[in-house]
Amino acid sequence: MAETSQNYTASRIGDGVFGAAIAAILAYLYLPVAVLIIFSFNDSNTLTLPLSGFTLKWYEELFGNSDLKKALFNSFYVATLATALTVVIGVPAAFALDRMNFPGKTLFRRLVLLPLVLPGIITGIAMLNLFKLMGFRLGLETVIIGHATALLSVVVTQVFARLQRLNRNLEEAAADLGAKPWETFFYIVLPNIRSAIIGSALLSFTLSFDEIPVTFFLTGRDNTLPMYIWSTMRRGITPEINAVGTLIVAASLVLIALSVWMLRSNERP
Amino acid sequence: MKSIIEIDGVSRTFGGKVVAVDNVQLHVAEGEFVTLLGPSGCGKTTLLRMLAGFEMPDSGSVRLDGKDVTFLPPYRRDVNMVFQDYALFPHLTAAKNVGFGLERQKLDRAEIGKRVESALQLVGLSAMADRMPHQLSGGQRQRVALARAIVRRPRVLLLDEPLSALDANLREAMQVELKHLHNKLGITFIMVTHDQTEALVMSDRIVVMHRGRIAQAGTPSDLYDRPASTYVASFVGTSNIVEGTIVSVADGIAFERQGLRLRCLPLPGFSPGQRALAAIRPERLRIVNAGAKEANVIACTVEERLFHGNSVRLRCRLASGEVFLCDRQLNASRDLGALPDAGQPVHFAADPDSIALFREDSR
Amino acid sequence: MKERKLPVNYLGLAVLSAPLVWAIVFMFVPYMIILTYSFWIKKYPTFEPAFQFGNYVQIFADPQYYQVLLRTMRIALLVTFFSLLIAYPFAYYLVFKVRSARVRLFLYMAVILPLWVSYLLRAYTWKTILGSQGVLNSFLVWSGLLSAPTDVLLYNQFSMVLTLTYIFIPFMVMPIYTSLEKIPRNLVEAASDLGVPPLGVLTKVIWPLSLPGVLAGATITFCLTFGDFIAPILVGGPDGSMISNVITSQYGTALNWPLGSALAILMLVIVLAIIELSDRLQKAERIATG
Repeated sequence: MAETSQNYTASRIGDGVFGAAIAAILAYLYLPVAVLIIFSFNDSNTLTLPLSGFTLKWYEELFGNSDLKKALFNSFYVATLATALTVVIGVPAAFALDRMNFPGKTLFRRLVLLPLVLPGIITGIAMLNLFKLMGFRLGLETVIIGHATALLSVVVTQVFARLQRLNRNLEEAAADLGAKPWETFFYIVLPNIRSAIIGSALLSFTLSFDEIPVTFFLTGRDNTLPMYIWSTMRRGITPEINAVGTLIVAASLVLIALSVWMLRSNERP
Repeated sequence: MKSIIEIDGVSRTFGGKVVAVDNVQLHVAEGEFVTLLGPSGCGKTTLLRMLAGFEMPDSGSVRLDGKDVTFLPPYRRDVNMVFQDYALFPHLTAAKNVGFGLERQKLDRAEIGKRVESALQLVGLSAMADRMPHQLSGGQRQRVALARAIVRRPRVLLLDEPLSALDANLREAMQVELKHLHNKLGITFIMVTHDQTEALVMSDRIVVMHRGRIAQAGTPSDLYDRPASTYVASFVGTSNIVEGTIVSVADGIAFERQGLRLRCLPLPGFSPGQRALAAIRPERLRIVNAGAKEANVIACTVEERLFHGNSVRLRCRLASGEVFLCDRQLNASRDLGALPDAGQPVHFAADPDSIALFREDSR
Repeated sequence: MKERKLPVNYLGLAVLSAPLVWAIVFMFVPYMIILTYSFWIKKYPTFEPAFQFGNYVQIFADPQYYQVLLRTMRIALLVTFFSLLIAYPFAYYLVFKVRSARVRLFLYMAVILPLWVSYLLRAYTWKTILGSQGVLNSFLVWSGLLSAPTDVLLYNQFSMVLTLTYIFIPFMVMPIYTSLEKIPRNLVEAASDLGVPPLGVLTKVIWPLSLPGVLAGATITFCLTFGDFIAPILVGGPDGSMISNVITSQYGTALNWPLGSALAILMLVIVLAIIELSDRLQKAERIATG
């Protein structure tokens, strides 16, 4: 009896230590985010403690910054078109990988999925070489192609995984009921992989919005938001960056809430 | 009667080596209920899928109502299928599932609505029209799948193990219901199953398949009473199979196996000295006294009594070592006590017409 | 297989054509161009075609390059190690200790969430925290723990590992969590039932079954760290620069594309080798566990 209660106490202590470790990990993950947000409201030019007072002036400066607004617009432009491309190319690619047999399929799969683990810098310089060789002028359009290439893998993996889980009998049943191949795709397959497409498109959009290595090599005079922040950062630390960061965090939260909500209304058990 | 399905010399090999269907010849009459029966891997499902258009044969032809459909894609064939796992579209309601095939035919909305309604009524699911598949029970999903397949009024309905996912009670009820549906619709049903009871209960004709070939085709009672091989004899129902030698063919055939001598009906194709197999149904045996004046008395020792409720199975062993089964119906509670116990000797009598003889190479 | 009279699958060709063309033009061809450039010779102010291995020889002969390569590997290994050290207990706690499904989902999301916060800002924030004029230093001085700001916190390999671990932890947690979640609970119960103590259950049952997730997480964390070039600039300092920074400067100020290409090819080969190794281990693991 005494021994079991001792064991029980020991395991309670163990759980307590475990819980504390988890809390420490969460602190490690969220301390920087907290710092980012807090100092965006701090009335001081330097990021030092103690805090000196509440202000919104960093946000005001932000809204008056036309370069930043231009960069933000560019980022939206790039992310939207790059995402559209990843979906248009990625969904058929996933479909081909799951359902078709063709020579060179293994090489094709490796190529398409490589950017998942391949550092962006390689995609960046590889495409820089190509565009230079073909005499393309670097600009937002080359960035779009670069992002689409790097992020194709995101859409392909997610849609491929969903296709694999999709019951193949559904397609046979549709064909059996007189649906032609394209009807089967639009009426049966597409509705059932829709959430995977939306989810991966959202992820692709976010990653494109945040992309630096590829953009770094492929952009011309136009800056995307991360490139603009990057160039500001190299000039020195300013609380204005914290304000931009806080807004990005807020926008991300809205986007996440939105996608969770959409997936929930989409997904049935 | 005219044939609606004509399968001629059809073969299909997978991956260059696995022969799934091997030179199959099968004609099915309009309105027939035919069951393809066999263990998994016997080729029955591949044959069904070739009828539906999901598989193409390597050689041979499939004709539907006189028209060659061998290489026609599934969506151009006038057959519909009930899938083993039902394959209901998870994103569509029961009614939308049933209406899917009609929408592909570009029928007008009112007509589709009417036919969906009547199909759901036929399977007793009118109240569930707006439910999603995941909100339905297994039995209800089965009915939706059935309604979806018959609503297009196909010439042939294909059923791929339609009842295998249901529990025992529901399965029995659905067997009867499907048979009634077959009578009501008057169209041809082709069903695939590995369950011999299901096949015996439901079919007009059973096609037993073995390693891609047809082992035997015939009415349920044909197959049961006159199996063409020991394979059919042991796959349809249970059989005691004893291996021995033919000792005489005069005045019926005499068969011997280590002290056991069986007298069977005359049959061509046997000669003395030939190795042969004798098959006897467990329920055709009678228990007799040791010295009974019967044609065939079989002596064994009871090893086990297996109680089945309405019957009991005596698991015995012959002197030559083979297991020998005997089923006795229990008509009254005292019947059980009258049967010999484990360890006791017992004698069975088998009428000559209840013994099926096969040549050794018929396996 | 035997030839059968099947119609040509035009629909299939149509579906395949766009992805295939894209993969060839924007992936295969560019990689081949880098490969070609890596054999060229730098001739100021440009470079000329050649087939020679001078660029590769230079990488392994000049300590300036191979030391960066070794440093990059060391940092990538350290980051992978620390990410695993943090991610595994976290995922384990979520799957096996947290009873409420809602709390579990919340904690899981809490780890994944930083992924959506700009990568750049995540690296930058550590610079503002660790800097000699930064948040931590000012706090330590203000609270009296230090008399003057210290500069040991930033611009070294410690700050690099800390920042990169922070950035890549979610990539480690996700696959480990997935593989732990897939372990049937009755296996754990069966092990306990057979008299295996909790620690034994962890080492003999849970850990081996979660290895595929660990392997996947370690592979992606190592590869991503290996190619990072933002964190070194922000928090790395002079002795923190990594191979990507060298490639960047060869393509930029140094204007030596052939050498940059050779470095990129080397990086590509290392990454491919690691993926291949991980694939092999994964397969061996699958065979070993049935």
